[in-house]
Amino acid sequence: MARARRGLARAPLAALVAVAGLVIALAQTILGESVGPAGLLVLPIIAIAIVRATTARSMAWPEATLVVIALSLAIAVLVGFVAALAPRGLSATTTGALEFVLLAAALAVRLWRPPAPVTPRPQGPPPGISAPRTGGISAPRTGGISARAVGLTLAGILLGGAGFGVAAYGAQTQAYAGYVQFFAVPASSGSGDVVGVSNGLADSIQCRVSLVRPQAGTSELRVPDLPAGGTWTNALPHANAGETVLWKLTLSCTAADGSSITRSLTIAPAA
Amino acid sequence: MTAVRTPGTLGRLRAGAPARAARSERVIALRVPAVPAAVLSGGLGLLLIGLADLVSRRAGPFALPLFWAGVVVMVGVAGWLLLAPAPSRVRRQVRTVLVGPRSAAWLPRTRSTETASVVGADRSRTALSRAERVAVVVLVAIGLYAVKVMTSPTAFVLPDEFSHLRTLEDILRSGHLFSENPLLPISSIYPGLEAAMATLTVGSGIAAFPLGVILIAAARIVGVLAVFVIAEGVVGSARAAGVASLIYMANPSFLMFDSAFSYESLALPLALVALWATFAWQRRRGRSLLHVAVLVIVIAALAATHHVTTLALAGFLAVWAIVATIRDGGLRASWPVAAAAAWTVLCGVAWLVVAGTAAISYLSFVFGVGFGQVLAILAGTNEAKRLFAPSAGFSTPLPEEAVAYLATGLVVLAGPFALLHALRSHRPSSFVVALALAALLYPAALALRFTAGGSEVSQRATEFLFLPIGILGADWLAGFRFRRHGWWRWRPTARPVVLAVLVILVAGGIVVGSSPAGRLPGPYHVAAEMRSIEPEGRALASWALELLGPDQRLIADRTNAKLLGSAGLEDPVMAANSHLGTAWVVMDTKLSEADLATLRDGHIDYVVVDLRLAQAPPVYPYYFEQSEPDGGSHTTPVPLVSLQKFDSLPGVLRIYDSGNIIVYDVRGLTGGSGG
Repeated sequence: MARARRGLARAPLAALVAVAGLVIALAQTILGESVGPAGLLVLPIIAIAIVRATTARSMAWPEATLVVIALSLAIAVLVGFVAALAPRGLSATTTGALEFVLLAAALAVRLWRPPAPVTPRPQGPPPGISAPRTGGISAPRTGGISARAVGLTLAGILLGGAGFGVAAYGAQTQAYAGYVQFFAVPASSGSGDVVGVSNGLADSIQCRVSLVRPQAGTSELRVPDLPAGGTWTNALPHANAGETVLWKLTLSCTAADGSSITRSLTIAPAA
Repeated sequence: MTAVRTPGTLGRLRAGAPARAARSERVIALRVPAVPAAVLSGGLGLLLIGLADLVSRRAGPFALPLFWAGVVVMVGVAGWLLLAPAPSRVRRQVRTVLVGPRSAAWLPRTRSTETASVVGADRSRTALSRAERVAVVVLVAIGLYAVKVMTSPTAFVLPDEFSHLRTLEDILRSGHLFSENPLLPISSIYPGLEAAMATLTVGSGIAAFPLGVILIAAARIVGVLAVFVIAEGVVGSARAAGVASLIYMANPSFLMFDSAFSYESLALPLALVALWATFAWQRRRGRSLLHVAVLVIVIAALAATHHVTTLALAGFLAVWAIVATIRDGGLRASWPVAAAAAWTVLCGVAWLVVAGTAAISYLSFVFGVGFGQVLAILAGTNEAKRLFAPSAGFSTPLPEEAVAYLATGLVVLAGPFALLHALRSHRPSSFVVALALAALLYPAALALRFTAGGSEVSQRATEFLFLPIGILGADWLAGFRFRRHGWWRWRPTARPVVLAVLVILVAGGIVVGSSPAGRLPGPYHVAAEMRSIEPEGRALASWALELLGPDQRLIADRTNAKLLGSAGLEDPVMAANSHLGTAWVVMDTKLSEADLATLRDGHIDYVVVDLRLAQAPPVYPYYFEQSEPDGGSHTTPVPLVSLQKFDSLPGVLRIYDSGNIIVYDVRGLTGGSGG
């Protein structure tokens, strides 16, 4: 216990992060629902705890980034797998509980592990295929970030963002042929059929539906003006006794530009 | 003036003339900082590519030149930066230039000398540190990933992405794994990606598309970082490691396929991390708990994520372990590699036990078709596939073809030199020997390109093979320099030449990996993968889910099947998931008895007919799937009479009509309750 307290005292920020991870995982478990983007933080915290539990060596940032992200991804896979195999299935509760247990276990190992001797930061890998090469490992000190560097970085981010914006604008404004859906399906209550029209054009349309019942004459259904994106549904009449021949429905619409649209259906009369 | 002979490579100051050194310093002094330069060039590249996407969507001119300008700016500047010399090399060179090579060798390193102060002032401007190189590599990887995301910035649109979205949706709906996925049955058997996504979704509440983009971006960062640190560990040079990472990004799958929301996009980085952990663990003679933890966790996750990647990792680790055991005289030094190989095999086999052995039949089919066709070509019974064959009016421009052949040729021609360079070093490690053996598979993978069934295997193989190619090639290429021979006094500077090679490799990889229609968005076209995804198809999927309900068994063409199977949660029936020739039901001009039997055997309730199939031959080789009439060799569209035949069939109801897409209720034909 004393060792654990000493560990916490030595690294208050790490302790704070660990506690935050535990709280988020616990909140997810208890609430049984997502905790928002904060939920994404638990996995990297678990990964960092595992790294700290297994080594006292300090790592260069590329290796540290590599290990933390890789462990986060792999743990996400394994947590999902184990949670899905659990009787309750994969849910916010089960994944939150698993993450809490994992984090607590890693922290426990970290706190009770005997302190390792401080090792110097590695100065780079040993020579490889070729004859030993010099340097390339330690970064030269550049004496802080220059205004030019900041300006260039901001310009690059702005340009990249503009590129993404242009691409997104292109995707959102791409011209596709519009469509008008005409459909007839059994009503959800199980009695009779429902006919419907959905307007996928850019402008409103005026439509009418004619219903041809070979054994009971023709009738017409009035469709109100349908704005862009609007949907109209209407219950169809019940079939008369002995009426077995298929019904034909025809949709005739006039678009805002004066063009005409025709759709047709064939359905079985519903008793 | 004395010529300086430093043991090394590019970017050297070759002559000791102070005037030249001063000129170099002036040039160097104008340099912008490396990472901001990479950000700026990446941003400019993305802007050009964004414009290319916009122009391409409107079928305007110059989309391809804009795209290539963006790629060249992004990769060219990054390549130039990565080829910059290392800090200590510049320090030594400047010392050498100022004091003379002989004295420089024993000059004490003290900051009190004039030399040292010059070095201290200039080295930061002339060279790239390791951290800067890593940052540049990561920026390029993210930039190239952004290229893929920008083709569809609001939703996933690639066929495999729909398949994996279905598995994800099934896990979220049921809370459990292994629901049947009609779009890609093997996806639900290897649900690592979807399990990770589900974990993140239920925890964060973020929607699938942004979360998927974040997850794949993270995986991509991990992948290139792993390549960098592996290469650095092998070659012993951060500079060569940067070049190796760039060569790795030249693999044809990197730009589009490995960026997709697909299990391989996650599995491949995990495998690279496992390789790095094994490498580092062995180097520490098995005395690193961290690397054991990484190995155990990452390989366990990998086994649940992707079959081929697990197999490839196990195979490579096994070869490496054997080579290490033979070379180092027993398991004493190689046991960490053997243990990693054993753990990979154990996890792979355990997963087969848990999830079933469907993967074995899937893999044997995929590989069997390709290798069978290669043998048939060699025997003269099959004709070789024509590369870059135009399809439905879409063709690869001649310059792109030329770059693709040039890039492939460069890899093939440089291969022997790189291998010799690696193996002729004083004592190549067992890992290097294993890499060399793996690189030898590249020509075999190229042979598969000439088969219809094997070209996909060939393409996927490159994402593994470009690791050894990248590492061995970078070690050779980064040390490349021109020599003077006899009367030929002119000696070109190596750095621009190597940069040109790198840019050609990346550009060639992009061309080989994706056709122009596959890497740039555009107007609707029949059976053209992402270009076939449009609002009318999406509206059908939404309608089906809302009004027909999920899990309806139906027949649809490839595009509508993907939409209905993912967004609509329906069950498209096809040869790939039920061994039934459902494509014939739609494509036959008359409904035959065999078609009726197919409808009955498949318990089909609905047939979705897209009348646009009669407008043009497919850009992708198939309208439905490989098993269809004239599959892979369509030159004319589907006859309209085939698509309209259902209107005159008794017992068939026409329940949906959106102009181009018609849905027929065929339960009256199959004895269901429809008509």
